[in-house]
Amino acid sequence: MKKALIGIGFSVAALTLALSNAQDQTTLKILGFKVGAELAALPALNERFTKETGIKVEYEAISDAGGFAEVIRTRFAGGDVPDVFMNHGRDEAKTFAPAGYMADLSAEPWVKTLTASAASVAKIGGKTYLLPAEFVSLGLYYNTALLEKAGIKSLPQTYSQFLSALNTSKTKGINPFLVPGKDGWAFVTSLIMATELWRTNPDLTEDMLAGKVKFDSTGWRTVFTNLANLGKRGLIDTTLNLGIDGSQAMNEFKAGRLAFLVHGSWEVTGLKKNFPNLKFGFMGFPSGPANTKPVGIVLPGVAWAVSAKSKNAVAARKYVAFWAQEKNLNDWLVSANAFSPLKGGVVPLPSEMKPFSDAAADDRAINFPLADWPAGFQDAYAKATIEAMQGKDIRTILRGLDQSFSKK
Amino acid sequence: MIVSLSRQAPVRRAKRRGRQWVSIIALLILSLVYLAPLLFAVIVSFKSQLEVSVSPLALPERLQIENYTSVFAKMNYWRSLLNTLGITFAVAVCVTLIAPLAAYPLARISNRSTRLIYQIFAAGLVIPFFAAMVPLYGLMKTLGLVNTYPGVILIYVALNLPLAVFFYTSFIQTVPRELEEAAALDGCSPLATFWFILLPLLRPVTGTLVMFVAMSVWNDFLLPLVFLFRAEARTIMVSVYSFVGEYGFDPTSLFPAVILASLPMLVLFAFLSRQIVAGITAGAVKG
Amino acid sequence: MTWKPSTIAFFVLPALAVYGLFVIYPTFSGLLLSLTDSKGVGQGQFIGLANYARMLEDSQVRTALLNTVIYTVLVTFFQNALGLGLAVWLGNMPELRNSLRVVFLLPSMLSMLVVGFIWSYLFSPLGGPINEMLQALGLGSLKRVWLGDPGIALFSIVGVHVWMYLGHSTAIFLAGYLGLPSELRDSAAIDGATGWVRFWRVEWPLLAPATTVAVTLTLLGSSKTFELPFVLTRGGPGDATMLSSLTVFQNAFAGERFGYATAIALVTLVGVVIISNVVSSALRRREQLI
Repeated sequence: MKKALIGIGFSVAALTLALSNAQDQTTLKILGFKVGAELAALPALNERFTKETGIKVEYEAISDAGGFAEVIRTRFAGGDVPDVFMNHGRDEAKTFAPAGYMADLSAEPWVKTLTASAASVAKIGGKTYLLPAEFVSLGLYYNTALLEKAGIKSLPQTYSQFLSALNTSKTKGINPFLVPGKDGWAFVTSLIMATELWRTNPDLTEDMLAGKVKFDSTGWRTVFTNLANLGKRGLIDTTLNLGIDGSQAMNEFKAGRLAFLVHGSWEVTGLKKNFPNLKFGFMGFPSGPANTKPVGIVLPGVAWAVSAKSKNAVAARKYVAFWAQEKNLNDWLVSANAFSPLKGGVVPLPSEMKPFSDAAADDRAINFPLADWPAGFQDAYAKATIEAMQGKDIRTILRGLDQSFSKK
Repeated sequence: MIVSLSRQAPVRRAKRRGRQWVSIIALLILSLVYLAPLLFAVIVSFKSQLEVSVSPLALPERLQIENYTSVFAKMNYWRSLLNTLGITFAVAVCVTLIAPLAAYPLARISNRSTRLIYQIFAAGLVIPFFAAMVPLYGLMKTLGLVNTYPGVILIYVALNLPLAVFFYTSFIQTVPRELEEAAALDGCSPLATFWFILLPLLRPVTGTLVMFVAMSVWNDFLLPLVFLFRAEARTIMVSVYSFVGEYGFDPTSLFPAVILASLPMLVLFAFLSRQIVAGITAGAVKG
Repeated sequence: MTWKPSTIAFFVLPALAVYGLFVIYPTFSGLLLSLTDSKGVGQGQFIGLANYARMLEDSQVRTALLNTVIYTVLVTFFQNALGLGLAVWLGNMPELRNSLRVVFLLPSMLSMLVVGFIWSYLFSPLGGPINEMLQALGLGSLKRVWLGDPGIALFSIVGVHVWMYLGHSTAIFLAGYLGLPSELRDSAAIDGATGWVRFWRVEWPLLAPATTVAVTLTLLGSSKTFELPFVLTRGGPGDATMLSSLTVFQNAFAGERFGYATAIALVTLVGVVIISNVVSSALRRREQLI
């Protein structure tokens, strides 16, 4: 009897829910930092979601430069939460999840479909809070036409080959390389020069967090010395590089005046569309010694989360689940030239990215370590790379890094 | 002696006129150089991406009007313009009503409490806004003012009060007291004196202040971004910053947006430049 | 006229209420955060004065405070010295005076962030218009990495700030200058040789009220500059252009040390208030001497 009553109760509840759903259409509020051309497939996907589920979607775009960090913090602090919101990888989640702002998504069926690295990005304190929607890559852009002009026949595979490619280009009057230092691209370059450390010790990040490996060690000393030597050997103009940002350096590459540049895979689409005469490729970075191959970096870009206080929790979870379906997600991945977070997920990448995707398929891609380093450490690390470029004493810099690494 | 002097006079005058011409030309060149950065921005706004990368100094081969048309649509230009105008107008009215009221006693009476109040207002000129942002959001939420026009208007009024009080106080200090004293002898209350005697005198300062308030409201984007985020309530600068992306900006879309957004202010400036000058210079001359 | 306390209250209250509720109250409750380890999200723990103690050994904060002082002094000096010169020049050019005054005010109509974006394009060492122009004019040796050279970057930003607000100082001094008795100006203009001496002895002291206004406003305006270095350099290279406002911002949002950030903001605020009070009362005293 009791069971039957409960059963009736449930079906009545379900019925009213269905009815109310039909009557007033739910509108999901979504907050993200992708704007303009970066939106790529997002508007089309939102439309498809509405068509499939009848749930309306309102996407609010606030770029990083436009104050995403401030807005999202004040809104959560004030309780005006979006139903679903974008994370930069797990950056926000690291503080938002412990503060109780994010819904626990561990029970969602798509969790099991994530690759191991996606699953580790998604987890904070053992629970899954995120759907990593993409892994974008950092690698080395090269201008095919300029390399030909310099007489470089094959792509550099090791660090010494890379240096000699820079030297050859330079003697042919070609600007070989830029390490833009104004907005953090120098540290990206230094990290990709450090991929060798992860190649030899895949657990490096964990070891560093446990205090087993210090910055003041042979490996990191080599990385920072290599970075400093680029300037000392006249392969880059240090002062000039400290005065440009990533987009200005990219501009040089677009104009066909630069042989090599470390940058992200998201530029590929725009390069192909707006600069059809530019012949280029995108590869891992030749960071290792003889007989090694280039290594790339992959990092979680957009990751979706649901607010703990969302009034449309069911619909919000539905939205995230929609993104986790391969047919939907792949539209996004193709438009962003990104790797899939799903097991066995294959995304067709443009031919320019073949050297990179070959490296990734060959397991020659490491996770962006910054995601796991302590919050706020990024600033200290970025500053250290600048100091190294400026020619300050490497050991002093690295000791300073060790100090702030352990303090955070 | 006398003869030679009078003979020299025309020479000197001619020399002076010559110098005057040199001076005029020098000033014109100087002002052209001064405005060059803005001219560059205008030129770039008409170029294609390729031209920006490859030939930075050259004029565009063809005016890329589509830079403007696409930005115009994406910004929802007319709606943003209307929103911003409405907010600006309301803020200007409120500020020019309550600020002179407060400034009057602050300018006329010097005792411990008025000095303290003046200092409190003056401190507002240097308070960094975002230190107050998170608590302010909580307050607005409690008052139910988040995402409403009145909410944003009230904050703008409060933020503009320090400058307005500072302005009015220093202006009123230069106004001779005799008129007010005569009015008082005639039995006028302070409020009547304020309304009928002082307020008309303040008109020039008010004109200027309106321009200042308009500028600060027009050019701001953080506040509406945080407190007025409904898509249809967007202000014009918020629309502009939506063109600055995650990985830097593209001048061929940002600069047209910037120019479209600043145009109304520049038009207003062209009409009100005298008031602006008067306001900037308030207190520069002893009354 | 007699002012009863109740009358004063009636006049002052509306403004004070709005200002108190929406600025003072949230600022103070924000400043209470400086006694906590708040991250800006969730609740912070009370940690007493630890944030202030930490500031003493934070070299970035020391650099930022020092840079802020240098920046403020340089902007205040150059903006007003150039503004004064330009004002006297324009003062003697009645034909151009009004139109050029408007020309020089034009940049200050724009938002600071916009100005930052425009100059970051102009300053670019890779085909940026400034360096290209210098090259074209045969001044290639003057080409610099304006924002990347730690010895220059801060001055480049000072330059942009002065460019933006030069018109303000000019307008203020021009008004003061035109307010001087006209016989004085005429004789000064005629006397080429003794003009400078005369200017310093006679006219400059009489411009005291204008100087007070111009210097005080520049001081307050430049000490809280945030947008320009934020767009142009983000405080770099190294900490060469790190200003107080910028380190507050970075700690609050990038570093998620909200409590610490408000502590730095408070210290800066107190410093600015003290300095600007000292300066403006010194300038006022100078006015009394006329």
